[in-house]
Formats: sequence, structure tokens, C-alpha cells
Amino acid sequence: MQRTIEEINDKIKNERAQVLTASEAKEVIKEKGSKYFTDNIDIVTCASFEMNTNALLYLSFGQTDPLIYFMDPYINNVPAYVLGPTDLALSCVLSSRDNLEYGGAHIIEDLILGKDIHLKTNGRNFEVYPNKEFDTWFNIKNLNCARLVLNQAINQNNIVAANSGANDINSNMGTLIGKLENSTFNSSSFLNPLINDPYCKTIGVGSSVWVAGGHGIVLGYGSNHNPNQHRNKHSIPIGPSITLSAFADTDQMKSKWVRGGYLKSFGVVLYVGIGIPIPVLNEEIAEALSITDENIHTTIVDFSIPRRTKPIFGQCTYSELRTSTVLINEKPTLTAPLSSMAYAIEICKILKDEIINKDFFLTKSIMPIDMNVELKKLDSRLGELV
Amino acid sequence: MSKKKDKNKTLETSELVVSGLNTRTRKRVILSFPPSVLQTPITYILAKEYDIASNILRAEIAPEETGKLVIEMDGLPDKLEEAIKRIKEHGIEVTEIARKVIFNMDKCTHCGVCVSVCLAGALKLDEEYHLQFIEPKCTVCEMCVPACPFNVVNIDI
Repeated sequence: MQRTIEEINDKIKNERAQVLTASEAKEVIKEKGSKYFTDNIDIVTCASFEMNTNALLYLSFGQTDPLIYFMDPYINNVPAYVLGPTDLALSCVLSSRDNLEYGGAHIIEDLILGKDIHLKTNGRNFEVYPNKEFDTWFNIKNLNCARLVLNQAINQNNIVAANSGANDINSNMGTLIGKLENSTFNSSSFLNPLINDPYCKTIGVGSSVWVAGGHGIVLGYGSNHNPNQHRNKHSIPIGPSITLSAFADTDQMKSKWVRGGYLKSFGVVLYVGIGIPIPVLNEEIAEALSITDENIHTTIVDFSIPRRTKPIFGQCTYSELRTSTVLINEKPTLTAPLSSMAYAIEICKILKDEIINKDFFLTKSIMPIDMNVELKKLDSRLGELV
Repeated sequence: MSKKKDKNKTLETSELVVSGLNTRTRKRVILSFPPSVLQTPITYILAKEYDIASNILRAEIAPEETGKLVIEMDGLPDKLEEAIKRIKEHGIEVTEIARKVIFNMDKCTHCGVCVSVCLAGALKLDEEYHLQFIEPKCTVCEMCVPACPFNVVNIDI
């Protein structure tokens, strides 16, 4: 049986669409098979609530009187970048000058909460922009636009981080205790949209996504996109692979799903909830949706060596990781996630309700995600002939 | 002599049923041993003479060096105080731990970062991936406090 996105959207309009969350879908497929599933189910909602970096907030202010061209702006004491006379980009990972534990990600959360935020800026020395200094408070209602650009909104799979060294490491994967005492992973595994659609057959440029309560659009592939990653026999990559870039306006967002966090001795990180509906267009897509944690493999990486290529300890499945003990080098090691499964499950349900209530429609993608991209390396050119 | 006195006290305490003093309570202490008393069988004395069940939470003892022992003593309140006095007489330094880890669950996202550093196994994610705090297992090592990205975990002094 074949379906099109238009047919599914008509069904949503007529309140006849059958929507399931990813966890419900897996049970139905297991019980009744993918044939029954394709015939009866239209949409499956997937979600993730993972730790993110690689994001920025695009802020567009109104003009001051006399006119100003921003220079050296600070928002709540966090440095921002000038993109135009009154346009700024705020990185989500930079910290405030007086508090390392507060940064861009927290400002995004505060903005969505509707809090007043401090802006302090100088002005560039132009004849037509005579204002040389400006100091004010603003909130989300005073902005022309506040747009969240997530250049790594969703990761297809991730690694498991462990540390075989003698000392503890404070890494981007949390605190890793030495001598393989603990390990961390950062993936919503079977709920992740890209695990449920491993070759991006239904997600493409222009697909609508649910970003933290607002509606956004997929812009294409994101940072560290590596579609050539090795895949297991269920076509799931065994490490970081496809990434998607997305943007969304912040005015519809809920602060519960955008959270600023701070990792000890590492820095500010952004946690953001993403939901993607996967249309069940044919049986092939239904079969991909049947994937469970037992068949999703990931690679255990040793973080004690801070090099581009790190030693690995082998592979394990997410069902092993979810038991909170995993064998690394034959040693039982404590393991825990960095991404919230509880929130991902909640997002799946919210997105399902939005679709049923005709608040969220599917969008046909304009272009597929580019799968012929090679992950590049940044090397020094020292010693090369000029 | 001291043993006889102890017996008398037990009788007294056993009569105070109403005041609630007879219920067993728990107290966490850090014992710092100088090298000379490393041979003292502390947990044996606690069990035999004071009827205290001691649960060793952390121990760092090397021969010929000072040692550190974190234990949870489970016994009658009177007995606990006497026992601490007795331990002090041996020249062992006793520091009581009144610290407790508290969670501000309003801010918690159940991400699991704190679980990854809880080697004592006091933090777990349940079947629905919600954070669970099993307080009796907590050794107040405080690893989870800086680990939490959202400042959910705090120490209550």
C-alpha cells in the first residue's frame, strides 16, 4: 500500500488520521506485523531531548533614536556578534563575563520565559548612525524577530564515552571517572527520528519539525554530517552519522523544552526538545519503524586520549546501555544517558495530540538530505609549500 | 565496670517507650584514624557492646598510615552517643555528617547526568526513565551536585 503526504494531510483535516507515538508503534508492529501497520497507521511521532551545542539565537531589534549601528554588544553580560545595524547573533555556548555557569543557552531559556534581558552596546562611528552608547532592557515582545538556529538539531546516533586514564575528565559527555568507572551516552535511541528513518526517506529540506513547542523547518544537513558512517545489518549507523539543521521562531516555544545547562568544567550547553512526525508512506518505512533498542548499536570510545581518532572499546547495543551497566574491557561499568528519555516520550505524545487536533500538518520536503557528503578534517598547513 | 553501667542504661532506655527514644535511628559519621589505632576493631565493638549495625559507606585505610572510614551507624539514639564517646576515647576523630542531598524536581529534566557519576547506586532511572533517588544508598559523596547541568541537586547542611 502506498500513501502520499497530501492524503495524510487530508486525513488530518477530516480527523481520520491514525497517529501513534514511536513507543506505541513498535508494540503494534511487533504484535500485528508491518503489513497491518502500513494499512492502518498514517503517522508515527518521534522525538529527542538531547544535549546540544552548535546553536545560535538570531535577534533582530528595532532602531533607536538617534540611529545606532551596534558594536561590542553584551546581552546579560554575554558577548554577542553584530550582523547588521540592529541585528545580533547570540551563541548558545558562550558564558557570561561574571558567571561562567550562565551563558547563551540560559538567555534563550529566559527569553522564552518572558523575562527582561539586559542589552548593553556601543555604537560604530558612522555619520548616519550617531548613537555611540545604548543600555536597555528588552523581552521577547520588544523584538522584531528571535529565531533559534540549531545547526545540529538532531543527531542520528552518538557514541558512548568512557575514560581508561587514571584521572577524571570533565568532557562534553559529562564527568568521566578514571579507570572505566563510568560511561555516558547521549541519544534518545529508539525514539530518535533519524533512527526510525535511517536513510532520511521522509525527512528532507523543508520538512516541518516541532522545536520546543514551536514549529520549525529543516534547513538541510547539519554540523558533523557523516552519512558514510558504518551501519549495522539493520541499517543503523554505529556512531554519529546524519545530522539535521533546523530553525524555528522562539515566540511559540515553551521554556520547558528549551533549557540552558552547564557541564562542570566544560561550559554552557543547550538542551532542546525536537519532534518529527514520520509519515507511514509504504511498508519499507513501516519496517524501519520497527527498530528497537536491541538492534541499535553504538561504539564505546576512550576519552582519555584527546585526539581526533580515539581508541575504541568495541560496540554495544542500547538495550545493554539501558540496564545501566555495560561491559567495557570485561569490566562492568556504570553507564547513564545525558539525554532525557522521559521528556522525549512526553514530546512524542504532545506532537501526536497536536496532529490529532489539527495544529500540526506534514510538509512535503523540497529536496532530499544530501547523502554524498564526506566529513572533512581541519588540518594545519604548516610546512606546506606556498 | 563500664559494661555494667551500659546494661543499666539499656534498662532505662527500654522503659522510655512513649518518648520514641527507643526507635532505632541512623547516624552517618566520618572516622579519621591515626596510625596507632588502626588495629582497633571498631565495627566489632559497635556491634557487640552497643548493638549498633554499622554499614561501611567508604573506607580509605592503608597500613602504617592514617585511615578514613565513613560509616552509617544504625542503633538506639542513646547508644549512638555513647558509642561515639567511646570511639573518641580511642583517639579517633569523629565528624558527624548532617549533610543531605536534596533535589529540586521542578527543574529536573530526568536526563541522567547525575546517574552517571553516582557510583554508590543511589540514583537510578526507573522503567519510565524518571529519576529515582534511593536515599539509604547515598554516601553524600556530592559528585552529583556539580554534575547536574540544571542545578537541581543541592546539599542541605
